[in-house]
Amino acid sequence: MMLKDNKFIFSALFVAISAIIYEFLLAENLTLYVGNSVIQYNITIGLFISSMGFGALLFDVRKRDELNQFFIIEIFLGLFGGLLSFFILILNYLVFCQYLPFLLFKLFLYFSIIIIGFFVGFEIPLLIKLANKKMSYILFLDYIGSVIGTFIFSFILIGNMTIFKIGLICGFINLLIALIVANTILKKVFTLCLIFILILLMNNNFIEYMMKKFYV
Amino acid sequence: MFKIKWVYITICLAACTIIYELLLINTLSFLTKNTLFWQTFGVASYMAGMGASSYFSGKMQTTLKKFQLIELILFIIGLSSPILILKISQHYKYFEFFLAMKNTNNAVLLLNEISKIYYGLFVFMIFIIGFLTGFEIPFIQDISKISNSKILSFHYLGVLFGTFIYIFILNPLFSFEMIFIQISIINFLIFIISFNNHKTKIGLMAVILLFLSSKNFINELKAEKRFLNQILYLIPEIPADTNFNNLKNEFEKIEHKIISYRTLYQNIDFIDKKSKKLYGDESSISLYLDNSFQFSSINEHLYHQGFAHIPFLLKTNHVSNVLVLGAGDGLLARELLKYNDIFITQVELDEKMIDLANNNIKINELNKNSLNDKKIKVIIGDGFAYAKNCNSRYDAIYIDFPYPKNHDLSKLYSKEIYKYIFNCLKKDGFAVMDGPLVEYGSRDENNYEKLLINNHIILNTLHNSSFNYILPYKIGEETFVFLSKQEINLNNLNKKCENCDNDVENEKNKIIEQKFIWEKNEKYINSIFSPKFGVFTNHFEAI
Repeated sequence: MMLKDNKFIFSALFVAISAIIYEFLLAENLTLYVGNSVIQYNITIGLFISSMGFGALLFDVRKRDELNQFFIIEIFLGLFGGLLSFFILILNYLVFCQYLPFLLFKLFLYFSIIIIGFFVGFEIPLLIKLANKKMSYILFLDYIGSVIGTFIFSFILIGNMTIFKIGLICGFINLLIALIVANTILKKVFTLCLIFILILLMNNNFIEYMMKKFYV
Repeated sequence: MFKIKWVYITICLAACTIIYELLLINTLSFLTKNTLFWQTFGVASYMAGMGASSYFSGKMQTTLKKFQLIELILFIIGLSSPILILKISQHYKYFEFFLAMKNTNNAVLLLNEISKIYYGLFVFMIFIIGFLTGFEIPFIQDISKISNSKILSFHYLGVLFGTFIYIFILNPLFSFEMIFIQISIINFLIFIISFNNHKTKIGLMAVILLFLSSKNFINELKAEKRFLNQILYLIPEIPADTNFNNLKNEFEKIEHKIISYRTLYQNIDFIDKKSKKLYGDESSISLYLDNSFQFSSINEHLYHQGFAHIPFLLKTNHVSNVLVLGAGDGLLARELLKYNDIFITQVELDEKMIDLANNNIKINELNKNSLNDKKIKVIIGDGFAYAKNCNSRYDAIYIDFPYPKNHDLSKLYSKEIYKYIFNCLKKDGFAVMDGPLVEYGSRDENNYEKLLINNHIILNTLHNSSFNYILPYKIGEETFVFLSKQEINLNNLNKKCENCDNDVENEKNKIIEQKFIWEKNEKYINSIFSPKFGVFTNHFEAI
């Protein structure tokens, strides 16, 4: 029982860390492609906080499949959040080639904030149920994670690596959590494959190639 | 009826709390020139505050009295924040100027201490706002008997609502001190509404009184803001040993006018003054963008002639088609128009800047109405996008962007934009940029070590671009970089600069001995995907 509890406590903390870094990454992407960092950061903050809240509300206490739900969300966040900067780069290229209207591109960016915020929020009551701890404890971990994530992003990540790599690292964290909570061999193997792919993508040459090819 | 009131109150309170937070984050970003810190740590401390309160609210019951106390505290925070921000900024800028001049280690340490208090205080204030918010919700649940989840939904709707009201309506229309007052009045109104009995009538009278006296308070705040601007812009003119309390008197002795414009992109401050101390009773005008010095009529010729004409000595091609990015004040254009057979395309982002260049009498006099010349075409647009999509090739490109204080500006010094500029040039063309470099000769000055990072970033980024020949040079206090596709012959600097004044000619002769130290390392290369300016590894100080 103890080990199982620790798993989820560890998850709560790291989920919060990667969530807030995703938020800042999206704000950076918005600044880059849409402009005016102050406004974009403000919009990101507002959308993130409110969608986290709505996500927490929409959690259905009656459904029983918590572990599976959590696993799926972690896989989704790991892939979507981790590869998001690449998706956005490619979408921007499509806008440039006039296959995609700029407005839709902007909406996709804002929608991504809402999606990530929503799933992060949804995880909180999920974790409360899984970890068997009081709500205040999980929320406490969530907020501590946000503070830690802010420090890591501002002092370590943003000045030293590209936004692509930062995304991949957070994706890796989410997938690692998925690996830890996976309860079947199939799930573990699947997650390991995804982690392996993500690590391959962290190659600097690959990132350089993507930037050269798609940022015109 | 009773219930609906609490729904509206929930939405209002949530909106107010997020607006306070965004206000504090934005105002402090602007004043401390540290956008990244406030946008990230602002959110973190707000969420930490909410987390702390969710921990405590489980343990205690929020009574009506506690709720009213919370609203009162928020009201006081709303009123006191703008005063605190303005007063601390005034003291900080005062100390920064005088202590920096004394140039001792103690002075620098003291400034760091004040800086920490400044930052610490406001991070704590944002934390408190988040903390208090967390208590409002359980109370409203208790008293309104609306279910937990519904109240939370309205709360988050309020957060969304507040964010958009602030970004699209309040921030563009009002100054920050006005918005603080508006929100604090709403908190006070809610304080009043939460009473259920006759006290409401007394409360309403209090509100009316408040409304009437707010005009005085607003004038008071405007005066404080004016005083801050005076400190920012007039302080070099007053005696060095002036006490903080005597500042106002000293400022009165200087004939001056400070006009502030707030555009979508920046804050423009235009100062018209009669400088007694520095330049012997001479009238001068100067311009500041987001509190950063742009030019002063006293010595701008040094800067603009050095920028415009030195490259003409070094160039190997015939220049007739020139692109100027930025420089909306028209002063660079004035210099370039001295050449025959030249056509200038000028790209400026801020329409207000062009408007001032053309219609402000003193600026127009200074730039000799250059932007209306028939050999110039002015385009309102983003320089980065223009360089990216340029469809003609130019003989010369002049890059005059503001110094990179934050992310938006960091991209204007990125390897990507230098690539675009290279591609916009003809095969024998050149480019010149105005950048925050520090020359070896000023190594004994205060900030040299800190500013050296700019050398690393800019020179690594430039050497990583396609330009093979790079020559940084300094004229007066300003540094530029000449970027060429052809080899540079430094002997050309011995030629006389035809369009330069004598002092510029003297400065030009010093170029050959100038040295710029930088460390070659890939980690310093600035890219739009990995910004090196406006991040903590290089917190850029205003010059």
